[in-house]
Amino acid sequence: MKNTLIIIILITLIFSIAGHMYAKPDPVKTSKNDPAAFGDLSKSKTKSGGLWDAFLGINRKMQETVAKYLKEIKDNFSLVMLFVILFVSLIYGFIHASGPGHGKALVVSYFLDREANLLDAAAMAGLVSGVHIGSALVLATIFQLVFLVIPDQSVQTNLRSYFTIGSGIFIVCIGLYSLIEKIIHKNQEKKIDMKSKKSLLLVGIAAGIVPCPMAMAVMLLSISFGIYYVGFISVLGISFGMFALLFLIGTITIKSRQKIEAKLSGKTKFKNIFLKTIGIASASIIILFGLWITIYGFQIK
Amino acid sequence: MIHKKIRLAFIFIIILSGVVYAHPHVFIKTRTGFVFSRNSLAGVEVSWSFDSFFSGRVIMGCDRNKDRKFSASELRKVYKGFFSRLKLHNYFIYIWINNSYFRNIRISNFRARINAARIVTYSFFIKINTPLTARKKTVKLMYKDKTIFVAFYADVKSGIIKGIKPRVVKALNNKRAQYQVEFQK
Repeated sequence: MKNTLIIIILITLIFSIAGHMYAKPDPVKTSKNDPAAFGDLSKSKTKSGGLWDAFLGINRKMQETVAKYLKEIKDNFSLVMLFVILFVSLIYGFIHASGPGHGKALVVSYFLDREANLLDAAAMAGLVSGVHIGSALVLATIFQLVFLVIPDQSVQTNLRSYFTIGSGIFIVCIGLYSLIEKIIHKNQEKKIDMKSKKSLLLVGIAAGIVPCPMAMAVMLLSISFGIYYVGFISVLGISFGMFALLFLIGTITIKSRQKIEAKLSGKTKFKNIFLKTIGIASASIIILFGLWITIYGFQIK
Repeated sequence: MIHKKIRLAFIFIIILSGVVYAHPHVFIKTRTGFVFSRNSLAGVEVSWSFDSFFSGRVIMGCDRNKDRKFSASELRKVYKGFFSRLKLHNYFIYIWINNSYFRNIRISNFRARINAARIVTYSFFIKINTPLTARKKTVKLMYKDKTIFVAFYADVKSGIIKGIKPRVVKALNNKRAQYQVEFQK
């Protein structure tokens, strides 16, 4: 046990140092060897780009729609408009969260690794979206109503960086803990089940702890318009949209795992190998994911 | 052989995890003009228009007298609080002249304004000063935030060539805010 801990600490230290060295922003270094970064435009057939550009375009339009309605309700308040904002924000939350990030990979890794039900999926989705949006609400409120300032870009970037690094390290710890559990407590099913609930809480918090910049932006703009409560409704809508998507992904993962398990029901040996492999792979992916988030956190600086 | 495969899988997973983590929150519409003088490409005029939310933050943070204009002192605040830090990221600007990376991105004539729709636009100039020659030259420019927090897209209708027009062979851009200009004396 002692040796295992020392090895884990050493591995974490090596990755942290390597990550920090890699992550120092140096755009010149990474670009000088790439003279044709976007190829020859005269030979390029795509004027408007592919799927990623389409996703960005939809996101941008949704964001502008929310902003437009916030501006409108500032001058002409109506309940109908408030519901429109809630609905548009919900759709926006769903679309925004369907892009990269927002803990989807973590949710999939987590539910692939253990038996779970729809309540667990709802709890996880609620935790991730609630913590992600809630932390942004708290920060926006502290900045605007307590310090009476709008954080400049340096403050916001530093905060984002610290939260991201913290989240990454937190996720690495959860992954390592999960991996150790898999190796050490392989015969203590009940104990693991008890700890599963705790790990759901930990994974949910770790995946959501970086405050949502979008929610912060909505809140700060709403506060500047003097419509704090409308901002809150909009952020609530974004949160519901994110919840819906994460719940959907959690549910699909749980059902997929159940189907695979059912197919392997007669083949105990294969089933055990499958579950063990998935368990270790899931913990490893969580560790790698955490490491990458930590590196990304340093890159933001 | 097996070790090689494991290593490759390891690298793939790390890259994939990173790629799928980041996503944009700030959107910038770019307009880019390549400014020519009689004998050289003098530089690039850049204009960035932000989305409503980021614009709101800059306005709230810097337009203290709320007159929807940035005075000289407010402009310094915009520069210091919401722009100068981008130097760490080379201002998200990448330029190549004949496939050679242009290292010295230096910003001059920085300005910021607010329009009627409360959208903030930065404009600034990047000095390049590369002489026109009988041989064709190609200049490429793109905007990119490697952390994908900021997404750029181009106003493809805005003019790319400004100043005294040289013999331009090609002037192209796309919605991804990538520009390519080929010219000669």
